[in-house]
Amino acid sequence: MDAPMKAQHLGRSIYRLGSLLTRNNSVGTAGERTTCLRLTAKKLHNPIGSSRKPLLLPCRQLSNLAEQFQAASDARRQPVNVHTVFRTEEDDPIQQSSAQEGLFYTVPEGEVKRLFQKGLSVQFTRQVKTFNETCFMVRKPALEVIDCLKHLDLNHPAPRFLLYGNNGSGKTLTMAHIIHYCYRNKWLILHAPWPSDWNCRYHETSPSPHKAGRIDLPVEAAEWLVNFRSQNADFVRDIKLSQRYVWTKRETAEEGSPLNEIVEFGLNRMKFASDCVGAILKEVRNQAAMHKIKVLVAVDGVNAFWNMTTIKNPERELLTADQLSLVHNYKKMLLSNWTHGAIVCSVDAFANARDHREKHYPHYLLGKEGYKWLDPFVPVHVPDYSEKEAYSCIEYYLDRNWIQHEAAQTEEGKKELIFLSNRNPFQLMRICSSK
Amino acid sequence: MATSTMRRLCLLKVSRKLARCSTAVQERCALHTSCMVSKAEDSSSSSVSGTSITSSAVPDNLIKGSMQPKTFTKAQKISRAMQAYMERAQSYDKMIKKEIDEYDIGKRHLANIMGQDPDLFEQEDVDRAIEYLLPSGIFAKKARPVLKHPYEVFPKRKAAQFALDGRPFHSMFYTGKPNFYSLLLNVSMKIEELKKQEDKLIRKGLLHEEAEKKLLLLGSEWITLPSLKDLTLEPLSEHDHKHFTVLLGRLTEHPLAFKEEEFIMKHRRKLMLQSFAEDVPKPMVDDQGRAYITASGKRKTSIADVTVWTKGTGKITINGQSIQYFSYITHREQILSPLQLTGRLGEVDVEATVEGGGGTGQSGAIRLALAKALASFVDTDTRERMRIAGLLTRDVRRKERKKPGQKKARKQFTWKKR
Amino acid sequence: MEGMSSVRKLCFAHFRLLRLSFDQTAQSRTFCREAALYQRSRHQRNITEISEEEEFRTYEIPGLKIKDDTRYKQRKRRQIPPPRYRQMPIDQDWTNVWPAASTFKWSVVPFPVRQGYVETATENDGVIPPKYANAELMKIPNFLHLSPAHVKKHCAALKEFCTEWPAGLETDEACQKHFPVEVQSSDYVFSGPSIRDPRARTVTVKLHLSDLELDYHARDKFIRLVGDCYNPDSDEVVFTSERCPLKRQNDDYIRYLLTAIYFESWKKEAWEDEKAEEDMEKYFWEISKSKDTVIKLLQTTKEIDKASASAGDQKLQYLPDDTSEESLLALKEVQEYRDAISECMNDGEDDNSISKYGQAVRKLLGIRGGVNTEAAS
Repeated sequence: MDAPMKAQHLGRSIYRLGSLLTRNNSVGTAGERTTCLRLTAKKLHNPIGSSRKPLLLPCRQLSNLAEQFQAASDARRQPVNVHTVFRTEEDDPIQQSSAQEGLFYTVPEGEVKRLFQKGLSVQFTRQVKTFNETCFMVRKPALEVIDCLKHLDLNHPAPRFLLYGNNGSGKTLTMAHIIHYCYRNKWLILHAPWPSDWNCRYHETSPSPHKAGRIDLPVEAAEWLVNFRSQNADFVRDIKLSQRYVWTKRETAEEGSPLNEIVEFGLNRMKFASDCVGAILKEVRNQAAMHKIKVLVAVDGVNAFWNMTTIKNPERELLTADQLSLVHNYKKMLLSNWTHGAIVCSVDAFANARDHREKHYPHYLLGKEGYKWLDPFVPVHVPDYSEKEAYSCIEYYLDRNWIQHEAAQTEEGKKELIFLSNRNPFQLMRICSSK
Repeated sequence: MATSTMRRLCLLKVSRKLARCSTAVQERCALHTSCMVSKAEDSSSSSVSGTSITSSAVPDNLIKGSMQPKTFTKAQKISRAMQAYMERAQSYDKMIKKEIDEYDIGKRHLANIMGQDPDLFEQEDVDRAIEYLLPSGIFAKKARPVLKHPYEVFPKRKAAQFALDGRPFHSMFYTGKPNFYSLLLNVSMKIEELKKQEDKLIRKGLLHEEAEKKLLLLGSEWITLPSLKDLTLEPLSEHDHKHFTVLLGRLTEHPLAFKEEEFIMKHRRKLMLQSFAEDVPKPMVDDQGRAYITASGKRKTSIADVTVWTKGTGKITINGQSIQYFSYITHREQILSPLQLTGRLGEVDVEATVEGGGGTGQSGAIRLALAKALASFVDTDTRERMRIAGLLTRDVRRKERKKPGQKKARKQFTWKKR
Repeated sequence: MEGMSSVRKLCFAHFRLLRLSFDQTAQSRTFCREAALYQRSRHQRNITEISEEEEFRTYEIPGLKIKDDTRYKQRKRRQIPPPRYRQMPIDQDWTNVWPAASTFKWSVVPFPVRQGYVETATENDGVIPPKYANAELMKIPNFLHLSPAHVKKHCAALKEFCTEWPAGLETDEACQKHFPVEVQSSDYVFSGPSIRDPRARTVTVKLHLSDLELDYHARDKFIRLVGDCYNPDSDEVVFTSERCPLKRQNDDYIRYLLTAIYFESWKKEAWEDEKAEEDMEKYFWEISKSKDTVIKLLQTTKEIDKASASAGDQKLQYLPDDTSEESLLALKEVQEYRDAISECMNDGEDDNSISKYGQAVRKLLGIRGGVNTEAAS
């Protein structure tokens, strides 16, 4: 992507904001619209790169309309609130503390590619692509869980953390933040990005070769394997199998061979991918007990494990998620009968069926069975943005030129955005985008 | 003989015209009944039907001192028409008098029924008593039982427009709308007068001195057709009203129009100051010393009750939920608008209960209720701005009904040739 | 007197005519004969008259001579008296004139009330229709109400049938306390041929559950037995019966029902002890799986702590050496956890109860960190 293209990309202007202000022009509240492009030899911000690096951009060099627009909007920007801090230099989640709360930190490109191939929402991924950088906000729930992980006694049975909160309050991103911390801290990550997909958005099903009555999802299992391999590239090489696995008469995984072998096998023989997932989970559980590694189990929308699937058995009855071999194996990881690890899950109303989405509380979403399975867990509330966080987020969007309306610079404009979004992160994102 | 026939024919024409006028007079328009001063002394007591006053149609036996129809002179004929008019006026007076008597006695009866003092029984007491004794749930208030003074019940009539000799008082009598046309004439005379004055000033070179003086017409509009009818007591059409406004507009456009300000303002109606007039409820104070007020609003089929507290944190509750009760941004913006206009965003707490209708209706209802409540907290200037912005006005639009033979309210079925 | 007789005659003639028409078949021939006889006799009489007068017969052109129409003149109608209200004195006693609520009568109501919607000046000359023959005023909602004087008079008349309100039942609370069972039924009065109404048989009995003497088990059983009749929000039990044809029978049935259910709920059958966790009326932590999990978890943790040689601050300090179930259950941390989870399950979840639960779990599992941020909020 060359520079002008990027600029054009950013040039998407959003006029949602302040539509009311412009409407009330007659009353006399709205500001004037400046139509001319005032191009002076001012210091202009580079729209793409870091905004902290000023770039001198003479008029002649403005090649296309998007750049001119960009430059003009930058030039017009009032010096109000420019110095509001919304970013932190502290890119390492290990070092972050409540001092950085409400600020954005940038995740390096390479780590994003490695860690978050699957784990982020579609809307956020799109935004990341547009902004050309991945920024997470340092928020209290993530700091809380990370702090707990820091003080964890790994010899004890793995504790369970359950993130809960409103729709769009940032549970997935909190989890991503935690995963990032664990990655930096050399944890092995068992991440199930959205197991609700296993229930209803599967590609194909096949009966399990390992146990009759179970259903395999080969494609999903393979996807998980790929994600696992990219997230834990080092561990996959280092961990040696503690037992022999026999897939067929000819195909076996010998004791002492690296974990990578199972992953490769699962990807090559998709039929056994689900069983490979089971084997990996079992191995990881055993290896953790042998004090070799720290394990993070992360499941987003864990309540999907106790839901119905859309798969039908030969008797035309809907199966429960329990009958999927993937879910069955993963559920074993959620019990605290193993050590040297931690379990971080989130409950999400969207992982439930449409008629069970009224509340966002754990017991309601998990149901009796799920609650019994996870109890005792540490509930971690993921709230909507606080005042500071909301302003910080708007500043970030302004910095990215994502909001281009002049009124967004003003205090009233920001208040309007906060009012309309009710400080809900997802709502704020939606309101500030054209979609 | 021939001449006399001719004369008779002429007379007939005149009297027919007269009759037409008098019927028109009877149909519409009012002058205070007290204006009905009897101009002729020799009024007879017999009654004549109002619509048949052509000379041939009047029955002989009804005219006092009946004469032979063939020997009527012009004066006699005219006096007969006048006589007929006087008779009608008298019978009307009589009827009104009777009605008034009955009203007075009835009022005393009503006071007796309600066990109150008849001498202190006012019209408000009468209305209250009627509502108590004859309760009616009819939607139109006009259609409910009433007991009113006959002056209010019977429409007023115009007095005689011509003297005993048959000559109309007004020079424009034969136009049919003498008052109206004299008004128009008056206006055009004034325009001419102003033109003359302007010429004079131009000649003296003093026109620029008068340039600063302007006629301020803001905040008022020309009187409507019904009020114009009331003013002239004549049946006027839309077209007449247009004529009137155009002519007066021409007068106001004149640079010296301010000289006729008094005359012009007589024909204009004051706008505005509506919300000044209506008294805004005063906020109450709760236990924590916060002022609060409750207001209700409607839109489509939704009804909302909104309570607004000052010194708040900007918390919004709608049926126990946050602003996310509305999933569309447009609906949230509806609620935002009054807060934004008054500059109270983030300063007041709002609690709303709303029921009925859908998102648009509910948000609109909340908006109206919220604006009404906020109006109690803001100064008059802001309130006026709110009113002009339409925040304090109920949106009366409703869903249009579906029509048979059509798909929706307006949409037609697909047309197929066969 | 003369008038009377003429009337009687007329009646007779009429009666004869009627008879004639009734048995026409029998007498038709007779009638014909009689008619012919009558004609003949009349003719003869005419001849004799003419001969008596001896005058020249004139040709009468029909329509030229003025007929004597006195014969056809109608009888005088009875003079309609002026409406009653004209004779009323202004200080009359209205309750005597209009003793009870009834339909509007224009001739009795002494004030010129008007009703009707007049849209334009041309309609009815712009005048609201007066009360005479005004159907609008006669419609049901417009019946003339009783005046305050009426109400006073009616109350005075009813007073002798009233008994005194019992002492000690002045307030609603006192009534509720002394008469906790409320029986409702309705009687219907209407102008029909039957005095019965099927709706009259319905009987409703209401009582508050707290007014019954029940222990925990009996209360639970009572609620289960009555099912939908119990409203937990108002703590009210409502029985309604219309199964029997008579009100009395329904009343008896409900009384029987209430008695039977009450005594039944005090009984405890042997099978009631077999109640499993799912059958419980609410969440009991002691029999739940949660208890087993927690005990097992704590026991494992203690074993690990014992085995490991690491520093003391990493261990769960509060755990006693004796890890039997009883000693663990007696621990403060476990009890706190029990209360927290019971609150969550029984009183419903909210942010408050969940955070309480979180605190309890943190203490139970000895999870450190993240607390200061929690406390900051």
